[in-house]
Amino acid sequence: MNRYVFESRSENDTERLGRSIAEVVTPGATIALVGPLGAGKTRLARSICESLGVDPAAIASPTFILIHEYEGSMPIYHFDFYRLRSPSDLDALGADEYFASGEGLCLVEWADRARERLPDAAWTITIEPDPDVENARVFRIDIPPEDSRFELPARS
Amino acid sequence: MKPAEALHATVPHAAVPRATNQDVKRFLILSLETTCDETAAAVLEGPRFPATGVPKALSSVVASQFNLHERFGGVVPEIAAREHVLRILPVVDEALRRAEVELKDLGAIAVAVRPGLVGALIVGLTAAKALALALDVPLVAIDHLEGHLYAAQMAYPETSVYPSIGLVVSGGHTSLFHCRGPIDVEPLGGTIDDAAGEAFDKVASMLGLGHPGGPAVEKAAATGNPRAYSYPRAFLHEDRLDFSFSGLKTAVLYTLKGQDARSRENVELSPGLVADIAASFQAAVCDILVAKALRALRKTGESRLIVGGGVAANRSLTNQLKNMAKNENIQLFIPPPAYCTDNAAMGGIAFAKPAAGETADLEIDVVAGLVRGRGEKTGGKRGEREPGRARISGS
Repeated sequence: MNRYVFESRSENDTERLGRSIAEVVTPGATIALVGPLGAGKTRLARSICESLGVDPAAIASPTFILIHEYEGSMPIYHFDFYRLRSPSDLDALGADEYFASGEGLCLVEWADRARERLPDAAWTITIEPDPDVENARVFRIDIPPEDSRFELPARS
Repeated sequence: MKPAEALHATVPHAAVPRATNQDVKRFLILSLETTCDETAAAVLEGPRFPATGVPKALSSVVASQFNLHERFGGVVPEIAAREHVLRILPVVDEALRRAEVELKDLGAIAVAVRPGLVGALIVGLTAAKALALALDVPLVAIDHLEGHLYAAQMAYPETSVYPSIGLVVSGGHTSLFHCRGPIDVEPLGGTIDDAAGEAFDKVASMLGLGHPGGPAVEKAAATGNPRAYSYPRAFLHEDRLDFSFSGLKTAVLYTLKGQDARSRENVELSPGLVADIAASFQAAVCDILVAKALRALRKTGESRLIVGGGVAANRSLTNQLKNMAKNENIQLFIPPPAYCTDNAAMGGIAFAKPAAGETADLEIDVVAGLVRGRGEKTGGKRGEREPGRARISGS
């Protein structure tokens, strides 16, 4: 995995990161979003989705129903594993089919709750709030070497 | 008294005239609800189409609220569809038993087909289709959110709660609607990230409080200072009727981290600090909900507000809503808690559907996605199709 580190100081920075990711992802990609409550996982997912042309009004946290589907320039499957008790709960959701279909982009919040069920080629974005600076957060982005097109955005 | 029993107790058997096959005026509907965690069934008695009127719940059974553990030996997990499969038939049996009716007495089957968790919705719909087919009675597909709002009508049967603004605020939903009638409901706005109840649950988790999060935060907040922390109130002064609670959640996170900036872990929290954070968080949520409901009332010129969903059981919210209603001369309708949380009695809205010529055919599918502001849908995997509609026949 290649690791990129992006320090965001504002929502604008997070949006830039979302745009940079949206520019290089292709249908079939899976992105794991990992971080504590309030870290900004849904916020980054929203930025990626909006950059891919999804109607902003359609995007919300999927915690309740575990998955939302959006229509953008490619289909987007927005998962949330927060409520999973065990990875086997994913069987009822048919998650493997979504990951394997290759048709769209899978964004997976709380992916660490069922990491072994994600494809090997999944990106992992770990978000850590900076305890010293309000609204500052560090994004650690781990990308398989074959996905070489990604570039970190400039910070505002 | 458990909520389901309380609900049931409001309709004493002796006081309710029994309907039978021969009774042409009264009509019995079995209503099923499996949109999320709860498996619920209710027997509802109301006027036979084309007469209209507010039905009564003869029984309302919610699986998690009565003791299924003896029957199944163990704790029931929340989200797996297989649990609905296990629970649906005992819950239906219990609803029929408590209503003292038999399957052959039923005139229609109602089921919530959207929005919700796909696997969970399918269990309810499949059971409903099987019953409708076997009993040769109409199937009525209902919208869970319209049902939550109709619960207010069931709670106030003497008054029309429509036209009105509807606020559904629960673990999965935070939405405003313009309700011209029970099934003439237009979405005005909704959350762009977390639902209010979800924010309560997650903040409860951050504060180390128990489950369910809503009552836990409310309890902790009781002794706290709601002005201890100035948490963000997203979109409060904007015209839009959308909600956002993620910034609020993040602000709570920073309060916790800020207690010890060197630590990556949350420090041990004193009860006083937890109380202040809980009270400040709850105040922010309530301010947002009340302000947006008022904005929707003013925008539409409506003078009635109906509230549904589990968060409507929060006393801080209901007190603030009552104050607002009093000051603004608004008629406020909030059902009792057992009608606010997920239940099948709110399927009483099904009585409004045949009257409007709407029953479902047996080919309908579930719709997982939320119907969101400005009419867009976030489709579920099975969400491409609208619930099918056909003219009612044979009644």
